Amino acid sequence: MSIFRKLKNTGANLAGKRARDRELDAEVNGYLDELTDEKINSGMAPEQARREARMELGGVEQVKEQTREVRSGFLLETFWRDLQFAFRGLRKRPGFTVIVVLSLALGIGANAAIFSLVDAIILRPLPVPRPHEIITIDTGASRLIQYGNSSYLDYLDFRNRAKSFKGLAISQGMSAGLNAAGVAPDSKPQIVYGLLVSGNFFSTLEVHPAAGRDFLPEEDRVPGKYPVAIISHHLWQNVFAGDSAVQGKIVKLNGHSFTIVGVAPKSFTGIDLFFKPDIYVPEVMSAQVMPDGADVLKQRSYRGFDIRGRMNPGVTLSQAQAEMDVIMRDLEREHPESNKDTVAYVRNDMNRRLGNGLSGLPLVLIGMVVLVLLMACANVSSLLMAKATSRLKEVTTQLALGATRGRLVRQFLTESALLAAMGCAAGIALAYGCIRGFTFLAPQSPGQTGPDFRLDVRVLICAVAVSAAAVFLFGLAPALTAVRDAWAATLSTRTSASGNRSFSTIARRVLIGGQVALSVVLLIVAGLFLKAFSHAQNIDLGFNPNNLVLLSVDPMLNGYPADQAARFHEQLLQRVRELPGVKSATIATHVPFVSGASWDLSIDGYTAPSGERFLDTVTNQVGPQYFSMMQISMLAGREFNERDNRKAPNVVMVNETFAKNYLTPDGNFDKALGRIVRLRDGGAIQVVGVAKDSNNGGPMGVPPNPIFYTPYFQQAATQGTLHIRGDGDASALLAIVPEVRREISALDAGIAPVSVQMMTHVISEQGLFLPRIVALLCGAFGAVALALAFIGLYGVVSFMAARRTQEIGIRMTLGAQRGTVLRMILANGLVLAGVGLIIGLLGAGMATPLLREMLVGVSPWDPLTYVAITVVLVTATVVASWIPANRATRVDPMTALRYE
Amino acid sequence: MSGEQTELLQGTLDLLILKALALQEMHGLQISRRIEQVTKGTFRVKPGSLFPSLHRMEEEGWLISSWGESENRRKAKYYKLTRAGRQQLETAAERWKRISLAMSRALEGGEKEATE
Repeated sequence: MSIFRKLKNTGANLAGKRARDRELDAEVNGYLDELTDEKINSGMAPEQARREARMELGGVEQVKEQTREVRSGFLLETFWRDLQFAFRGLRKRPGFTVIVVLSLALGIGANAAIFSLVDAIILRPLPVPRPHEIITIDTGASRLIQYGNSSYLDYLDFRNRAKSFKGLAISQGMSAGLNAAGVAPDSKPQIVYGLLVSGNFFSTLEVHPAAGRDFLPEEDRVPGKYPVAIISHHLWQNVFAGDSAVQGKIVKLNGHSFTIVGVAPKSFTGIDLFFKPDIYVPEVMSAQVMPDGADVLKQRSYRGFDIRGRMNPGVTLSQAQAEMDVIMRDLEREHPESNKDTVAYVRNDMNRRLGNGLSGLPLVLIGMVVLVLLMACANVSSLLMAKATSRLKEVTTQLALGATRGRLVRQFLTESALLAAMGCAAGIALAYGCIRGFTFLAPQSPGQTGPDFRLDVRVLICAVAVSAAAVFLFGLAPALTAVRDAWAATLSTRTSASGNRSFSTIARRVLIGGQVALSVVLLIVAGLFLKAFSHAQNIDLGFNPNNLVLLSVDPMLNGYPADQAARFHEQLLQRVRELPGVKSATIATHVPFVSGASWDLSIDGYTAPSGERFLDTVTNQVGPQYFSMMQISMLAGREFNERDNRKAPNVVMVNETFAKNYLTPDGNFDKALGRIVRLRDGGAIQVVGVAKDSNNGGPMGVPPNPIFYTPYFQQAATQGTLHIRGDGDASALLAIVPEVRREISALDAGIAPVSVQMMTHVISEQGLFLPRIVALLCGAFGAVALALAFIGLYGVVSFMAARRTQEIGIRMTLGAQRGTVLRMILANGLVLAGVGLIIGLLGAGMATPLLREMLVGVSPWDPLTYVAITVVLVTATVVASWIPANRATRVDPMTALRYE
Repeated sequence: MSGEQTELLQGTLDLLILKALALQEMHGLQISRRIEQVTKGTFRVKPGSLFPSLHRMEEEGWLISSWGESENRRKAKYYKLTRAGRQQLETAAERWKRISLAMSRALEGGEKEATE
């Protein structure tokens, strides 16, 4: 039959279903009547004629069914009926349905969401064409160091000499005050975060501007000549309101005029997952944008750039590495004072991302995802198997009533499909909900850092496919078995009342035991991570972050030259200190966890093992009484005061690690005082104080870097953040802020603070991001695992109790106490869970040492965690077993006896 | 008899029905009886096979049905050949003749050889 005819018939049959059924009924009954008449006419008695006719026909209903089967649209019709039947069946067993759907939802939804999280943080490739071609080049300062930025002059040599790369580009993070007054609707001065880049940055990455043009080659050649900039799509929308005539507009960056020549496309948010630049400026303009920008381009030893490039097709990574090795050795010979012992590392961009201390994380998380999915499928499987065997009686009856085996199988299939569909829908909904939750929890900070959470559709599809397959497999296989058994057992009248050692029973026990074990492992891992997180939170920062307001002001936004800006800060600080409610105040260039910098420093009397004279060292420019205000203890000497200004001799302070590493390895810090250090310009600077280590923004719990501090008012610093500590509590502190604003306006009405925040907020938001995310994730997984285990155990114990209802009835009739019966059923569940628990504890003990590097400050066998989780699990299993057991014993013995 | 009936192929039954309806329209029982008569009792078609065939062929467009009155003054559904049905009858009959000719040749040949 042609497809058109088939469709036409199907349509006609379905539309006129009732009429056709009536017709069919009339036709077949008519046949019966005719046949009867025939026999009567041949002399038979009417009763007998009717009987014989019926026998000859073979049953009116059967004939009608056989006829219906061949009609077009039969399958569709039966499918619809099966669906309705399945739906009703599920509604009658709400417990079962809810459990299966919930398990699927957790397995699919939670997994997809969490995997999407990992993708957002780590795995997402760069938003450029063919991202696998993108490589990074690190310059290691010595053969022991595998990561490091490169210098501008080295980069030029790489670019000119290396043939392996289609293009090499550099980038360097920067921040500047943007003043778009007169050219944009939003003309409030603000700080923008961006990148200084080589002219070929965009062309190497093959990113085409959405509006305007890319940088021209000549714009990247002569320092200071072409002040041009490309802005991000985000900035274009926010500040310029998407103005189509933005190209050619002139804005001020740190007081210098820059022309906007292009807008980056919306899809390109930078080369770092966490940092989304708002503006791109050619590297040769760095002097206008950064304080020591001029040196940056001239010093071969100033290493502050990321190098990224695209491989030439056909060149392998090892070939490129070999070429770079040769080039580095040449440079070492040509420039021994800056390039001695330096090594270059060429890496695939993705490998570099993962290598930075996060290498273990994706695997761990993927492992957890797989485990949870397995658990969900296990749950569903065991429940479906249990259901199938309990329907033996029902199936037998249906077969006796004349249903074909194929029909029954189709019915089971429909049920499985319905369950799978419901579970998958719930899972997808849950996944979207979780993504919303993640976005809400992600830290927000200036510079719009923070990952971009998107639901990973691939994972969702994967999870849906796996779960659907599980439902079908585990719903269908036992269903088929049940049908076959029922078919063969149509003669028997009773199903066995006690547990039989069939495959499905053993499989179910293994599944539940395995689930308990898995959830133990997951929960212990979660517990350890949580402990590490709380440990990180409580760790001694070395300074007191409470009651501290950070307020940054940048007079340069209003065109102040450097020395005037410094005087502004001096006056402002004086006034702020006199405000009521202010206990102490100072100023500094960098704030822990917000920003930081490092300068090249040489230490008289110390030579580095690599032989380098100048070491790239973390630094901060801090105002008078910084250390006492931050409550960082002094170990020797004095801290800066008002007298340490331009006219006074240059002095420096160092932290404990600096002193121990470079000055006095024996720890006698008094001996460090008076030692001389030098910056690149050569002048001698004397060490006047040693402060205790404090965290300046590195990961928690890890020993800090060596740091040296110079007085804020001795350098020509322009950007500064006021640190104000309040007298009273946090709310009193916020009341100070308007006062400070007033003081600022009093000095210059046109200046406004660019950011105000609490130190405690900064710490909790920034410093703890990664440990917090990891702890949350593990906690989430652990909770999901526990829920699944709980559900699974509950389901199994219910089922086991239901099967033994008759036995329970007998026992109770014979005088057994409720308590005894309760204990009997409880024992079943607890033994099962107990075995799982032991296996889980052993498994966790073996697995957790692998995570040692991520568990800062916590032992992989931390007894407190193990004991706590054991208690949690025992409680959960007791509850999960007790509820159904209790329900089973409440049944009336008479009903139980009659139950078959 | 029933043994032969269950071996009756679908296509064969179709052909028998088409042939039966070649001269006049008939209702279900009449078709059964006609086939029985024409094949001298070799094929007794049960309604469990007859009705599916009839309905299927109607969907194919080879038959067309209408309600009418039977000899015993009951309502009965009558089937009639359509033009396409006549075409199908010719084609199927032709095919069947070819097959049966080939079969009988094959079987006769075997017998001849066996007796020689």
